[in-house]
Amino acid sequence: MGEVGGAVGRRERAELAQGLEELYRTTAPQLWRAIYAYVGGRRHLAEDVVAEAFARAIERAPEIRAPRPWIFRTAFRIATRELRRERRPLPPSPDPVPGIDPADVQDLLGALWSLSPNQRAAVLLHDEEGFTGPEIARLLGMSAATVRVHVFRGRRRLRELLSVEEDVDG
Amino acid sequence: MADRWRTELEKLRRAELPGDLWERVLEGPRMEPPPARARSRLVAAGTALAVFAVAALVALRAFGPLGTSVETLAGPEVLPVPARGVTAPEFLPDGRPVFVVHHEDGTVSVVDAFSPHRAWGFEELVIWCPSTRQFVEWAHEAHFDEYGAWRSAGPAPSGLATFAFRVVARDAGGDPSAIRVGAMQSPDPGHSPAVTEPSRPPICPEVAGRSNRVVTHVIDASQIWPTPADAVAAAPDGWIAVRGRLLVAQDGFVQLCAEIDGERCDGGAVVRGVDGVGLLVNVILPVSGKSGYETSTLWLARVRGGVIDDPTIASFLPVR
Repeated sequence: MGEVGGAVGRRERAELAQGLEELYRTTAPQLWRAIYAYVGGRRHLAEDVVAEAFARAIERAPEIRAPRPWIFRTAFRIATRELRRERRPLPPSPDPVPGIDPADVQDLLGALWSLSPNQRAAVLLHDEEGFTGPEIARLLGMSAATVRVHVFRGRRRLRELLSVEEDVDG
Repeated sequence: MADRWRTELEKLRRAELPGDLWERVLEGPRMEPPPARARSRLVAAGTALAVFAVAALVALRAFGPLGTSVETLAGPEVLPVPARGVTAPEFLPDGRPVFVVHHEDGTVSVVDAFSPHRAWGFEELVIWCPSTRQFVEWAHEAHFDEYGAWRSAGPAPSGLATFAFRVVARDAGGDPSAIRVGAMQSPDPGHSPAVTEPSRPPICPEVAGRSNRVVTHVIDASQIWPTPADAVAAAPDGWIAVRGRLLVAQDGFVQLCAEIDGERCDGGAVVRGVDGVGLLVNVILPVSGKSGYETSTLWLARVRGGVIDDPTIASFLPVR
């Protein structure tokens, strides 16, 4: 590619994409779920954010040394910026997506929305996607100690908001 | 039994990735770039309106970062001129730091805060000394007069660059009170000897009747990017402040990192323009015997082409 960050043709982009396609297959489902919850169940915004993060990674592939954390950081940053720009409240109900009934996660998404963006991201990556503290630190570009604090406070808040216990086994 | 939030998270885990998303990825970035700097909404239609605009700017700057954004250090389109004899640090709309000098004869200069001297590729800032009415390069102590011309010490390959400007408002006495800054102008060509003078004048000595408290730019804490990786990902258009530690690898590869673990750079970004090999051989290895270079934890820089450009040591600048 020419000047980094400049225009990249479709064929050139496809070549650069080959190296990232495997990463997409293994990473995108997790990132998509986390971003979908992070943006309050706005399906189209989550799709835009995830696609944009990978597309930017392809544009800048030659200079990115650790693509996975780069893509996660970029996705969460884009999502945060879009939420800030929109300044819209949480939608009345999550957009439907394949695999889940929106009503099943409506309360959870509402509770997550009351967390700070960093708490929300840390809890989602830790408790939904199973990343460890150091992994999240690397993904989000913060220290592991900070991640632990965000997870702890985020969980505490979720417990307060969704205090009714359920029997997992029915 | 389990917490309800945990069981609902389990359900969320069943959400399936839309199948056609990869095709969209291949179409390339489509979302808007980071929001452009906030433009001043105040348009001076005449002198009265211009005076009103400046008053509003001054008042609002006292209470919040009007004309700036979280993305860059962007200052307002119209800069206030300090009282006669006073020099004030300001930021241009692209975040570039400058000094607005109101000379004692009533004239005004806008002087660049970047020294023309670059050591190992780092940009170097100047500070203002009221007692001598001179600018001094913080790192290597070249002295420049209040018009930006080189006066003593060094190294300094030229004077400080200055900027053209247009007066948009005047005070009751006829002095400029607000200006709109234009293009950068060539600096005075006078320069220091090639070799740094052995005896350097003090940076800001005591002078009877004058303050010797140096004047520098102040960085708003809310405008500091927490990691270089965040800044590069957002690609803000203009000068930024960013926290980071410089890592110069054994092969001279230079990165600015949020954290350094051995030779691993976390939350980092590639740095362009720094002579990594020269720095490593002449400075880092002789001093520490290993790679890494923690010369600063606060930097001014620009993000261009996906890398950190024009890195400027800024740890000495106050943060509020």
